[in-house]
This record gives sequence, C-alpha cells and structure tokens, in this order.
Amino acid sequence: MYHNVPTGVGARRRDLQLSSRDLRAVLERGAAWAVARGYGTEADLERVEERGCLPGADPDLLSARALERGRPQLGTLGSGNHFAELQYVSEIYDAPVAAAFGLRLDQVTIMLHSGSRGLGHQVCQDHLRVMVDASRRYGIALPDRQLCCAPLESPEGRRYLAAMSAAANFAFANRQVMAHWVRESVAEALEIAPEATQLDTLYDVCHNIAKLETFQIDGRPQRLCVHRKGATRAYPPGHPDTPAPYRHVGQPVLVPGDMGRYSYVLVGTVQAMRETFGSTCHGAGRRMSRRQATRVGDARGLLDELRARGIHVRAAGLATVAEERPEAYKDVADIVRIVHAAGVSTRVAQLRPLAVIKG
Amino acid sequence: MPFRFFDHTADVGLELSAPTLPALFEEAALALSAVLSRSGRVEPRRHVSVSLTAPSLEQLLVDWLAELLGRFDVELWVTGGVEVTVDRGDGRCSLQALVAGEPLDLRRHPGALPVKGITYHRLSVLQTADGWCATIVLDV
Repeated sequence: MYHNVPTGVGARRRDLQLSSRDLRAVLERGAAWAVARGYGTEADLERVEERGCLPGADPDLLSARALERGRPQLGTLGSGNHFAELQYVSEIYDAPVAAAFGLRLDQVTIMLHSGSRGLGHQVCQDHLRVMVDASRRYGIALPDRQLCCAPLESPEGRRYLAAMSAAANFAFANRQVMAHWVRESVAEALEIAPEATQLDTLYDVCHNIAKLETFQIDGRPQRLCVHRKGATRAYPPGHPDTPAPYRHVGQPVLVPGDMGRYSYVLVGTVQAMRETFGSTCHGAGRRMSRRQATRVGDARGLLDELRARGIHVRAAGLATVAEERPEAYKDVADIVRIVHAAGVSTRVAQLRPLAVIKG
Repeated sequence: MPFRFFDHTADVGLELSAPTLPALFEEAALALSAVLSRSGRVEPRRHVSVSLTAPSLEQLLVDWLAELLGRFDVELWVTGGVEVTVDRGDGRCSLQALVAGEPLDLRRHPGALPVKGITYHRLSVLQTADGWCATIVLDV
C-alpha cells in the first residue's frame, strides 16, 4: 500500500497523468470519472455520498493555480492528519446494523482519509480573497475575517458553491483512485485477483463541506445549505439519499480517531434529521498544537512503542509522526460516546489499527 | 530571529517585525520557507520573479505568502533569499520580488510541514515606532 498509494509532499504515480481535458472531467464527474477509467466498480459508486459527484460543479471557476496544483495530485494521500490505515474490527455494538454494513468481529478493514489536496486549498484561498471584499460590500459584520462570506444567492456565493463542488468532485475521484490502488495492493500481497480480495467499499463520506439538501422545516420540505465543518453526514434509515444497500438501517458514518487507539463506524439516525440537519461528529479533533506534540517525545520512540503494541507505522517524514502522536488528539471514544448518547448517530463498530501510513 | 512562531491548536502563527516594509515581506517569505522546509537550509540555486497588486497591505501579505505556498505545492519551491520592493499609492499596494531558492530535497531537508493555506485570522500589518510588524496564521 505504501508503494502503491503516493504518500507525502510531492509524491505521485507516473502511470496516472491527467490532461487538461481529463482534469476537467474529474471536476465535473467526480468518482464516476475514476470508475469509467477502470479505478473501481459501479458497486463502489452506490456506496459514496451523492454517488461521488456534487451537481453544479463549474471547472471554469477554478484558477490556473488551482488546476496546476491539482493535476499531479489525483490519487495521492497528502500529509498532516491524512492517512491510510489497515485495521481490524475490535468490537461490535450493534450486531444487526454491523451485519448490514458487512462488518464482523476481527475482520480486516482499510480506512482512507484524504480530500481535495492542493486544488481544494487553492479554491479556498482564491475565494477567501473574493469573500473578504464581498463581506464589506454586503455589509456583513465579521468577528474574524477568516469567517468572510457572501449571501448564497449572490454572484459571489453562487460562484463559490460551484467551485467548491468541483473541488469536492476532485476529492471523491481522489479517494476512489486510492481505494482502487489499495485493492490492488492487497491483491498483490495475497497473490490473488483484485476481485477476490472481498474489499468492498463500506462508505465514502464528506466532511468540511457545504451542500444543498432538503429538510422538513415547519412541516414542509425546504432546500437548505448545510455546512458541515468538523462534522459529517448521518442520514437515517428510509431516507432517499441513504444509499440503497443501507436504506433499511441508515447511512454508515466513519469517525477516524488517532493512529494509536481506534476509529469508529456509526449509523445515522432520525434524531439527527430532527436536531442536527442530518449531521454528526467527523473525528476527534486536536488537543495539542503540532509544536506541543513534538515536545512530548520523539518519533522514533513513538514508533517503537506502537510497534510493541502491534501497530506498524510507515511515514514519509518522521516529524509528521511526532506531530500526529495519539496524545495530540482527544480520545475519539469520548466524542463518539457523546454523539451516541445524544442520539445523532449510534455506535456500530470499533476499529483498531494494525498498520498506519502517514504522509 | 526577526520572526517568531506562536502556538495555535490546529494552525501555526507567525509574528514578524522588520525596520522597513520590504524587509517585513522578506521576513514573511523566509518564515514560510522555514515552516515548509522544517527549518532546513535552503540554497539560492534558482531565481524567480513575482509581481503582485492588492487593495491593502494585509491582502498583499496574504497574496505574497499564498503565491509562495502555491509554488511549493506545484514544484516544491522553498525560498532561501529574497529581495522585495513595495509601492503604495492610489489605494493600491504592489510588490515586486526576486526570489532565490530551490525545490525541497527530502535527502537534504528534514521533511516538509504541509500548509493548507494562508488565513485572515488575526491578520495585521502595522507600522510601529521601530518599523513594521505583522501577525499571520497559517492553516496546517
């Protein structure tokens, strides 16, 4: 996996080169572009939020720099808190839902956390500049300029939404390509065909995104822009946008933890639709700054300690390992316990790491 | 060192000070480079020219660092030396720079800290009795 999925700053695979036309198609079609090119199957798309494509994406609204940054980065993991992790199912909390998700005790799973890479960051940077000015013109008082904004129906708001959707589609395609290479890696290691790996996509879900979705407000359906920041979608059973294979139980929710403890699979609820616009937590969140984390101890000691516990780490840079040490994050079990108790998603399974790839 | 990092849970903050405005922008470039290269030594092997215009000094500082960050993402460019001129007038600010540096080389540099973007959080560029100072937060 470490060799097949490019990891860290500047890493890329030479066998995936995007032309300008290809990149445009990625931005318009998202994960479907990847599947059409042989990276995965139609069955994968059924298990991706919005089938891996946000409507209304307009590649023409991306700057030359955004496109330049994105072109070599499709199918790359990136750095920071992004990861690829080989895990096993260490606990089942809800047996019927786990069975519907295809999860069983001691089963091996793989979790990927990556996004729209430099392309998405540049879309953000370009539009922050526009929004700082727009906030002033629309008379919006800001407590912090990083919260700059414009009305959704304004030209600036519409243009941003279309550019952000293109970046989201890049992210869907990025994860789809990586998922395919993960499958190939397992097949290579086991010397079997990729189809024989039984590595089926459980779910691919966005976080840190704004989307237009329909909710019942005052007894009637209304189209709203839901911004999930530090949050992810948690749709209930029976909802038309909960993927068909899971419609009888609810949408899977993936909540990554840190590299030394555990991650969780939860399921969306009716209560989330009532109380949080179909949203729940998306991860643990940092407890220490990067510099604080490096003061706790060095990376080599941490790697030895994790190895003694059966967790093998491969990283492009040792400094990132020290910054991403488990203690730098809140205990995700606490976060999950809270959202479970609040009923905005409920626990299905706990996943513990066996091997971790960091950028 | 004329720049100083300050802790921020998910970000990296920079405090800069310099006797002149061009020197402040030069410090900002070197501070970003120190973050990206994890304080590795950067050789001035190649030169690139940068020209920018913005409606305020604060926006010019964001644009300047965003330009260098974009170059890092595309060609792993890190800055080892820089000469800047800044002009102000008619409500606009402009910057001309000759930037010396090289692509990050993981065999020589201790790694790279990924920076996602240049934020407007706590952003300030101020003239002081001694010259100029600035605060800027990097999203990492």
